[in-house]
Amino acid sequence: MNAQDTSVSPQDGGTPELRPGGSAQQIESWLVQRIATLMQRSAQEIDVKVPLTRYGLDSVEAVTLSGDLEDLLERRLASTLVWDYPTISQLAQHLGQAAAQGNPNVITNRVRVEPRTTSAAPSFADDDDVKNNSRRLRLLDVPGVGNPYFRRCEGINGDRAVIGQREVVNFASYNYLGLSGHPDVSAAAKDAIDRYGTSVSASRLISGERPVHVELEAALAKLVGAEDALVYVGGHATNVTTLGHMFGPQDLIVYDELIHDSVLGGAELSGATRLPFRHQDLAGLDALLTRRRGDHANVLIVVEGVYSADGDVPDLAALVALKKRHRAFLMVDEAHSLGVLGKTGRGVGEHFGVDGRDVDLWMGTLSKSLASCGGYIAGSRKLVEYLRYTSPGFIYSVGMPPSNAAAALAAIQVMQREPERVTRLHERVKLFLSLAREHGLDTGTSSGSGVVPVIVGDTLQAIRLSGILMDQGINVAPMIYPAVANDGARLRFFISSLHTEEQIRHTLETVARELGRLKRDFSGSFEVMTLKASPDEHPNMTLAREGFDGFVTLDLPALSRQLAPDVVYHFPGRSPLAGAHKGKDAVLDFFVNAFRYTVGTLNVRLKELLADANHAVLYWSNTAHLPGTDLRLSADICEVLTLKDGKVVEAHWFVDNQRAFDEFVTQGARFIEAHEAAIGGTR
Amino acid sequence: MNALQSQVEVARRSLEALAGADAATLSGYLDDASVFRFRGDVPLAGEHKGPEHVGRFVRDFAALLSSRGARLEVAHVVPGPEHVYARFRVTAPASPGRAPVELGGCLMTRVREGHILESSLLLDDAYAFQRDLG
Ligand SMILES: Cc1ncc(COP(=O)(O)O)c(C=O)c1O
Repeated sequence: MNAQDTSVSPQDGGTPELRPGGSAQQIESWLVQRIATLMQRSAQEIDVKVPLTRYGLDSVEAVTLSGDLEDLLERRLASTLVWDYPTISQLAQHLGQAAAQGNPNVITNRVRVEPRTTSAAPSFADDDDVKNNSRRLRLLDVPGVGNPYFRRCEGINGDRAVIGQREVVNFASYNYLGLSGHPDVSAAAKDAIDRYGTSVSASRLISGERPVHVELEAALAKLVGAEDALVYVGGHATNVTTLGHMFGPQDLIVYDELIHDSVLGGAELSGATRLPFRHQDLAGLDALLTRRRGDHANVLIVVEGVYSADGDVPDLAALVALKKRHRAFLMVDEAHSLGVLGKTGRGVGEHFGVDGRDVDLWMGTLSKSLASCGGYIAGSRKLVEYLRYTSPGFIYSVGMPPSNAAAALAAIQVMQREPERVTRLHERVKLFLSLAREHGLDTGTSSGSGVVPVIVGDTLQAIRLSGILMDQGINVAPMIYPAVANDGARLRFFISSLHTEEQIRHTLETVARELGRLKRDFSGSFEVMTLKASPDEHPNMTLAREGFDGFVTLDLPALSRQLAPDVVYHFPGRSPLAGAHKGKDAVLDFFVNAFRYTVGTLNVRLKELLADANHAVLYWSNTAHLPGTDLRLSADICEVLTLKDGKVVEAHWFVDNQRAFDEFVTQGARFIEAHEAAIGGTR
Repeated sequence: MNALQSQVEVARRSLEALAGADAATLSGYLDDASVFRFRGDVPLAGEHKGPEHVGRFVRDFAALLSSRGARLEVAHVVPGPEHVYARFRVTAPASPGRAPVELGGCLMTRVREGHILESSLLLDDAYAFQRDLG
């Protein structure tokens, strides 16, 4: 370890002070002290040349560390920083050098707030996020890609759905037990409307309470083995309001990194310290709690009964033991496990034989197996009593519509009366998984739940595959970046007890065939990851890499962040893409058009990334074809970015095969404009 | 000279060879499998393979430049793990009946152990290249 820099003055507990513009030496000293504190070791034990992971630094702490460095250095840092520069010495050198050269590149000065005070009245249409969303929608309307969102369904979505007057096999709905559309459930809802009307017209606290609410809550509590339960009008809102209300700045909320958005929202609202742990890594969670438990009043662990993107199940018994050992609370979100796991569908508790009272906060939704809408919290009598009188999302919100409460209650009753629904679901899931594996499809970590992903590994291919399957009468939604990583882009299948063996067989044959065809047709597609980041890569290279990733994942906000406001892109030739594109908006439109004019068939293969102090060079090959014609594109492009303060200020593109490129793009532009005119533009 | 420096040297010499018809120097970096690509609908376009064909291409290219009194200058070189990027400019003064020439391009060269595996010549204005040098 290096001796401490004399210019560094100690600050609470001996951690050296760090200021913006700190030297490599100062940063190194700060890091040594910081790691020592974090790992509960003495500074002398920390070797600056050893990878940080050797000290047991996990992803959570790495993120925290980057965050603290960001704050102290007042710079934005690449999220992969600690992985790209694995030792203290490398990290400090990198950060110190960039500061000394006044060439922060990947490390950019924090964005200063620019007050928007132009003379015109502010309009959301001018907002960057709003504009980038519109741009992304334009991309999705390219034929061959097809917008997979907001498909309009006409009837009841079970094993089948009617979309655009066509009946298709349906895997896009979490009607796990086929209870939405069940005559008894529908009848109960109608009956409740006849009796109580369509709204209770008040908060339950005031006079919105109806007997059906109370009956439903009793049934839910009994189902999960808790003393009492409380229902809310939305599942998402249940998490937000419960976490936001029950925890505060003195508390710690630790959650699986794949936890649902509603938990993140609630945790943020609470003001508690929030730390994710690696997906399903209970050893990591244990280590984290060992280090952090002592710093907080209350600690809450949040997991899902079934993870909604991957369909895997946490080891609830181990979690209960762990939470007891650390004197923490445990919350389980059963959105996708209630009605699915356990012999009789009572959820992950039944699946593991865990006593319902060992989970402090059972949360679930009524929108999936229970064929309704709303969410619940179940737990001890005292807890539920407290929430009933104080939870903002409950007391300041209308009571659940009687029809929804009655539907959920009837769904529970049908589920218990007809346990064969649950059994059949389990059989169908087993069949789906085994056939998918026989076909060589990648189902990730899915393990016996109603959620089975088929991982495609590329955002655009996942969207395309969903479109192709729709054409072949199969409705399944893609899940793409940023909901999952680009190489985790997938189709997510929800299995229902209604699915027949034949539907499952036919679907998997079709998926395997079409995915195979897609991979062949688009061979060489988006092999972005062939050039991995290396620990000593130049920060400008990182920036170019992130830009390229942004392009292939259609992540316009990420691209937008890289561009200086007065950026200029020079594109050669005589096609509609040619010219000098000036300013952020023009450049983002240029990206969108590059994609539109190649009619969504563009495939790029990154061959090389180069960088020096002020430039990054990207070199890639492009192929595309114009549907219904023999016109094919094959061209290499070299893009040279000029960078200043970590932003792109200028870009020059060079195209080989220019005439052929221009011919293709000109035809492509005509084709796409005709297509867009025919569909009446984007929504 | 470290590996990167020698890569830069190879790329720079390649361009200088293009500018000065120095096929002999360039040939020293080539073997039978080396490919020089100049794609598109432009004079001298094609995939030139091996020292003999690349040598001919270099001489023809240099002749094209000198017929217009054009100069090729290396503007910027960036080395990388596999490829070296070298940007160049081609200029020629106006001559009776002809406008001045002003265009640029880059050469992506894949170098391994001082050897050129492949090179691709890309232009920033293929149309001007053809108009002014064709
Ligand atoms: C894990 C999880 N929690 C909460 C919710 C929110 O539930 P709801 O859709 O009923 O609002 C969802 C919804 O999809 C979910 O998957």
